[in-house]
Amino acid sequence: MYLSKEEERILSGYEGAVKQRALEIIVKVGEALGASRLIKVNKAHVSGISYKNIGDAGLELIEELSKSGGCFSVPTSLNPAGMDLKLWKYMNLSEDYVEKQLRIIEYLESMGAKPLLSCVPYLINPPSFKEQIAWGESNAILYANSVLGARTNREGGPLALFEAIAGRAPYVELRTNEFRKPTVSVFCKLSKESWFSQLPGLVGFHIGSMVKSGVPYITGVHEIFKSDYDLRLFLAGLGTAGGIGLALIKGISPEAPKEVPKELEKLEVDEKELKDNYEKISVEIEKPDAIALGCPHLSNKELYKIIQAIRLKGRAHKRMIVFVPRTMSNSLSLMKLRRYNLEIYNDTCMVVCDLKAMGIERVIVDSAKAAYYLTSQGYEVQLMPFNEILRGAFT
Amino acid sequence: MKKSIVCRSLVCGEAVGEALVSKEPISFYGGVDPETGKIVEKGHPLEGKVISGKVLFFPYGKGSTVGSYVIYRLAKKELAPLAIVNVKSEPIIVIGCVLSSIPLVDQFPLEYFNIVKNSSTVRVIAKEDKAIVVIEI
Repeated sequence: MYLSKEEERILSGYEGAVKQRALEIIVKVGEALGASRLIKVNKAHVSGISYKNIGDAGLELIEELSKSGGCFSVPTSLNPAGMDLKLWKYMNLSEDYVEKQLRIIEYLESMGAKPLLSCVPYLINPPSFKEQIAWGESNAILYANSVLGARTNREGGPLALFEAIAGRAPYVELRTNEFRKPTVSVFCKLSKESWFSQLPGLVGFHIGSMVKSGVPYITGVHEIFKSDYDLRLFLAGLGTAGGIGLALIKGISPEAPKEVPKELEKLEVDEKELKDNYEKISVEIEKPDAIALGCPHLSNKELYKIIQAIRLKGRAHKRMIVFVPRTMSNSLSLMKLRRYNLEIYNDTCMVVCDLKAMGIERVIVDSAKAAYYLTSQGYEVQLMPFNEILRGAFT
Repeated sequence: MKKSIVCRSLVCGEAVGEALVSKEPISFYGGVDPETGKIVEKGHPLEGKVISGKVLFFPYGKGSTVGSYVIYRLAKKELAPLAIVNVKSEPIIVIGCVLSSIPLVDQFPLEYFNIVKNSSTVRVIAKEDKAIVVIEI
């Protein structure tokens, strides 16, 4: 692999042992993937923040990097943690869990990270077209690549961490033009009348499970999205069921070709298969413990819809738990909404926090991503459209 | 009869052990229990099987970027697979295996997923320049 003078300097330890180790690991990953050189990244978003997910092994890795004097060389934001940093007392967590979660954040902050603690960095600090970034978090990667035309691979949590320290990533795959061409074409022929078209997350999940890997060129979905939120739910589902980092969506992606490229394998969304996938991640729940929304984190637009429903109809009939970025709405100042059965949290989400500790085992969600991960974690989950959930909660 | 298949070497190392084969992708986060190494994804062809100490064959990774930490947690608990064989490895798997020193190879042909049998003995030799996967046919 070609290395610049500056990179060789880092590798020989001139800029500290942690940066040296980080770059060694990046070179190793780059060589494995066939990169001929590295490229500088402008910013990083690190996933693998929740103690529930990374455990003691992850905590110790981050602790060691911080205590050895590691620091991030580019602006670095963080994915959600395992709790709300202000309201964790309401989440019924063990002392050990809280202490370890706070330490993870403390170590990352000591290295210079901004505790954004959200999975929608693209709404808060969006990268520009063709900007090279080092992002973890599958839904954010898809949004950055597919909607904004930025460049990142599906960096695993620790890889994004090391890339943030070294300020570089292997110049390979989705960072290069030749890998950003469609490898398969998918036509979604769902009509607007189909109930499933109200579940964009499921459509994304289904396409992800069909395509598995590569760069799909997708037509027919733009027409069923009613908002940017639908697009976000769709991409989150796509990144859950597939190893896909870029989708070229007709009508949305700046790099999508105008016509279906010839000689591409063509797939179609079949409603029956879509239903099969729905049944894998959704069961009918008679008495749900709660509704959980915010996977990916809700923007204020969706949050206001819920608050508007309270204004019009009063208290929600079902316990509603909603996850939003701290930069958009402050969970502490929204505590007063609890009397309307609405609990708003920052810094975490239903997938990476501990819903069981909060007394929840049966949950309604609008996100196929959340449905998949919560089902895997042993929860009973029902997947329903956002608007239908709202109607049901306030009738 | 044995057959040697030349693959791309991503993380060097050698392993001999029982094959565990999935034709479907694996999401380590959500799909595998980091405490036990058991596949917990509902409806996955390997649901209920334990990946620890196996030579794990699956075509692609999928899902969360936190999967790398699940591989790393398994390795710390000595519950990791002996080696991983993919059609195409993605960075999430590569960094997990680099940190955990798990031999990793890819460009294993998809059609051989029909030939490798669960529990058959396979050998993975991943060297700097190339890798060889020896399977029983």
